[in-house]
Amino acid sequence: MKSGAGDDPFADDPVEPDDGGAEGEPEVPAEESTAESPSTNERADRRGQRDDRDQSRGGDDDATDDTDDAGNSDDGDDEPTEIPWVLRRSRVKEDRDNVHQFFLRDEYSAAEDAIMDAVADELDIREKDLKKLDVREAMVATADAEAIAATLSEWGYEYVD
Amino acid sequence: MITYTTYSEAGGVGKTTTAANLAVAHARRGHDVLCIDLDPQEGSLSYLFEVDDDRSDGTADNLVRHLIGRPKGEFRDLIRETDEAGVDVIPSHNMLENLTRNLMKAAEIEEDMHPDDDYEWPKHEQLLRVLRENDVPGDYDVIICDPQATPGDALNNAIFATRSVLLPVELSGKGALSIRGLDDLVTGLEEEVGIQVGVLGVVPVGFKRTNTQETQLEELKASDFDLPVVFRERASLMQNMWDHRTSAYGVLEDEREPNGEYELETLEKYDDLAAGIEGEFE
Repeated sequence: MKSGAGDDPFADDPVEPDDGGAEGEPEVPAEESTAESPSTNERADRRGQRDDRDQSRGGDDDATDDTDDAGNSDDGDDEPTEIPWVLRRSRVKEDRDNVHQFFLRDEYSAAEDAIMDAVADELDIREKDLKKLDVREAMVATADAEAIAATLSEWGYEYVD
Repeated sequence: MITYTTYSEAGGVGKTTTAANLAVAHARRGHDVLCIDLDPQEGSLSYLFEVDDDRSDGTADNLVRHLIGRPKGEFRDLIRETDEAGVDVIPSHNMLENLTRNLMKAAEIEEDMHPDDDYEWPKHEQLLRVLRENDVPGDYDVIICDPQATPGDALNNAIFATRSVLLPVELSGKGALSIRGLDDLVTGLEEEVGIQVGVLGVVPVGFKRTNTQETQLEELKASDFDLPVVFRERASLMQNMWDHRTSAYGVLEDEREPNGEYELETLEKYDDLAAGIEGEFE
């Protein structure tokens, strides 16, 4: 027994992230599995097109790809595009069915908080209104491969065969 | 991230009222709070916060379905807002009564399907898995689990997900306290789930200043357990919470409590307790 708070359950390595539930779900209704396939395809498309996108659109979700993506301009505009995604969605996880675990060393977890802070400042909104998931996705959307490679080299990747 | 489980070995000692009042106290101190009600009994935290309407609907999606990896909907949709700003609740559901059976079934399937013959599906890690997969830590500052007052899978999941416990105790009657018993309880939990459990404190509830209780309180103070506050008996205030389905704060603000002035001191104690708990996590 330890007096005071226990370990932070959300700080250490996850328990078998893919255990249980995720696999073997005989009861998943058919429509759920089919609903996933188009978005998976779009995700694959998007990976190839990401470089062409301007930064402000980087955080857009799959559902808007066919309407606001210049590469697919011949697609039918059956959805209005005026309302930005973050206002249109009902939950921050809407359309984000692609779950990733984020393992961070302490210093980068702190750095992430600092980024949250700075981004909220930049947007002139309360930090509370800024969603970490959005920021993380925007980080991916705006990532600079060269800078990433440079950092990884510093961490020792240059010695990896 | 502030995470803890309120637990007492005996029912009816004020575990749920303590959890509810602390949730409100944290929220009023500016935190986003998620309460997870793991108590299948009718008089649970979900009842107090009036979010228990789906509990007997067998077709409704509920936490148990997510714990066994058979959700019927989005996890986010399980979370209910309460009248108390900043306090959200994942309500209890009658399916929790069969949590053990459901977890065992799920384990059987998972273990059968796993390529490794020796694979053991971790039954008590499922709440933590669900919270992580749904990024709950990103959306809330405080998580309070309120399982029922019996050892078992709900308690083990709660402890494994929160790692810290707050132990409301009654110094007499059915909650008769033995420090030895508390020690054994915590050690037992640690062995059961294989982690070290942090004890945020023991909180005597309904203290009446009888000789027996005074003696027990002294013993407790001399023990290794931290006693952040002692709540005197507040029968009328607690009864009003259940009658009006609100927190102690709600009872006093709506002037439903005849001893309002006097009871403000009780709210201060909840504030202090909440602040003390937050301090342990810094």
